[in-house]
Amino acid sequence: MNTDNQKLLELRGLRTYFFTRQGVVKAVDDVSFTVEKGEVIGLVGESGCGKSITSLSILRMVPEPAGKIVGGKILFKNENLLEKSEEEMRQIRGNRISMILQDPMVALNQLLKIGYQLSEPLKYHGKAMGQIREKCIELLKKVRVSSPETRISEYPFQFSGGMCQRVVIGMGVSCEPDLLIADEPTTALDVTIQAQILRLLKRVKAEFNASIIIITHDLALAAQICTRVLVMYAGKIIEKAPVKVFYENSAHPYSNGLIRSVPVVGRRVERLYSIEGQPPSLLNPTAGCRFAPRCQKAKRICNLQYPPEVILGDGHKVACWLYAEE
Amino acid sequence: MSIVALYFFTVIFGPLITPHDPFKTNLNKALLPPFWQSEVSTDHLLGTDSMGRDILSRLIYGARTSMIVSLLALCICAPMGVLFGLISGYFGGKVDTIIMRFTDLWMSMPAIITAILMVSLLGPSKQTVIIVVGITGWIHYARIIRGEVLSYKEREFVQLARVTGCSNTRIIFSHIFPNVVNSLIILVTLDFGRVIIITATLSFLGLGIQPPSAAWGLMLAEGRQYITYAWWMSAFPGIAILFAVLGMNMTGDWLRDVLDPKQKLR
Repeated sequence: MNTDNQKLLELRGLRTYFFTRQGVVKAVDDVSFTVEKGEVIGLVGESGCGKSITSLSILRMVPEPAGKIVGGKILFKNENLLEKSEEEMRQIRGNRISMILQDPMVALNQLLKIGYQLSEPLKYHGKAMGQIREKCIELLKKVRVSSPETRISEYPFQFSGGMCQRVVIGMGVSCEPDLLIADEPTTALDVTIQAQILRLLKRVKAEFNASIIIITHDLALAAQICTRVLVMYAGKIIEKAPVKVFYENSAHPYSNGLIRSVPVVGRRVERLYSIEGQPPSLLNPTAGCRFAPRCQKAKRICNLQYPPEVILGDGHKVACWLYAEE
Repeated sequence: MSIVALYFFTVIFGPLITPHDPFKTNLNKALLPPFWQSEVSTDHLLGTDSMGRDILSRLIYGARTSMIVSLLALCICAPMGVLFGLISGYFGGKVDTIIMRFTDLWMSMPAIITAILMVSLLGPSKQTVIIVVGITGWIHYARIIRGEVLSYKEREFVQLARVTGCSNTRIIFSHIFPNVVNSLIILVTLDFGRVIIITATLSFLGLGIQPPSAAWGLMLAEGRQYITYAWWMSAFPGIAILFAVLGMNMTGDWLRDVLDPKQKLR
């Protein structure tokens, strides 16, 4: 069923390193996953685990000269993005693959009108020549901004956070991309707005038939919208699972810990579960499993050798020695 | 502010308000003192110079000259500095290093000496003064704009612009440039005073505007040899320079307070 033409994006052994004075930081270390058409992937993990860098790598926007993609392949529609020129990448950014940033209030240029910013990707990628204004109004309608005709000539500071995020999403989908990367799209927003934005993302996905990668540390959010969940820890993907399997039957001790540390309304606990210790430094990581020092079920081998990826079920893979043959 | 307003007023309406022809010599009326010291006539409010030309009229015409020269010089140095500042700040790396080391080099030489050198190479004239003052002034703009750009280029809206596929040129001019316009306005106003002084200095040294044109620096120089018995010849142009520069600086400060509320809080 996984034929090649269903694959939209495939990462193979992606490595993005940062070369700092203290040494090489392996922010993304041997990450592989695929995104199929129409899928919503949740990339979860705690701060600094390499989620954002993974997404920036896909767009080839790793901050240079410190950061560099040193290995792997990023196949988008069977073309390796790492072999594209900067000019070709610009044709892809915002057009075929677009991105939604974390904080909408700072993501928009405060000095330019909403309409102008909204029209930029359209103009840039040669869509909707001549009828840009109409197209922008239509976009604002699609992302449910009220009275778009007047809103279009207002400035971002006249918008609320949720409204700004709608505009940013509008910009993201304006060229009807195949892939939308949302980097913590709701973190900076109120809970009530979060739900609306999620609904909007879902609708947008249905309307444009796009795949979405959602980067988040909010498991509840991931549960609501994603079809598959990838758990990232210290630069590596440690578990891949369909969303249902993940919440009911997660395999990796880290994933279990994550799920247990989410408070559940109605269940009284003395103290909320937390995973002991700190995530490891990505500078000179150990040869073994990176979670091993914090793992309660760690065995001897965990500290010595990185675990292989074990297939547990349909689309459920985990990198953990608990399930592997030594 | 009112000084500047007055200054602009005289520049624009100069010819209409001058009491006398600033270029008409009349040796019979040479070296008349200003009206409150004069027993002969109160016709020439601020007296006359060694050639019998009315000082007030010459001051008003001088304001025009200095204004035109300064404005044109700013038209050269501001865009040049802004362009280099934007490029240097945005691209960073080698480009940045080259441009910034060049400005260091440039700054290590006093602007006035560079200016004198260039004028002696090109020959003194109004055009030369404009070019020279323009070229010597751009580094300040480049440095300050670069600093601003550095702080803006890491902001998220720039990242979003990149994500949507904007080219570097587009990001620089349509996203970053509008953000530095405030600083640019303040800089230009503050720089105006400096440009007036340099222009006057060059004219004073005989390297700038040539007689018989009316220019403040030139009038100052002409009055020098008569200073002991005709003080008004150089005093009034001097005062004019002082107030023009002071006015511009004060306007610059005021603009900064108005346009940049963040700095006020510091």
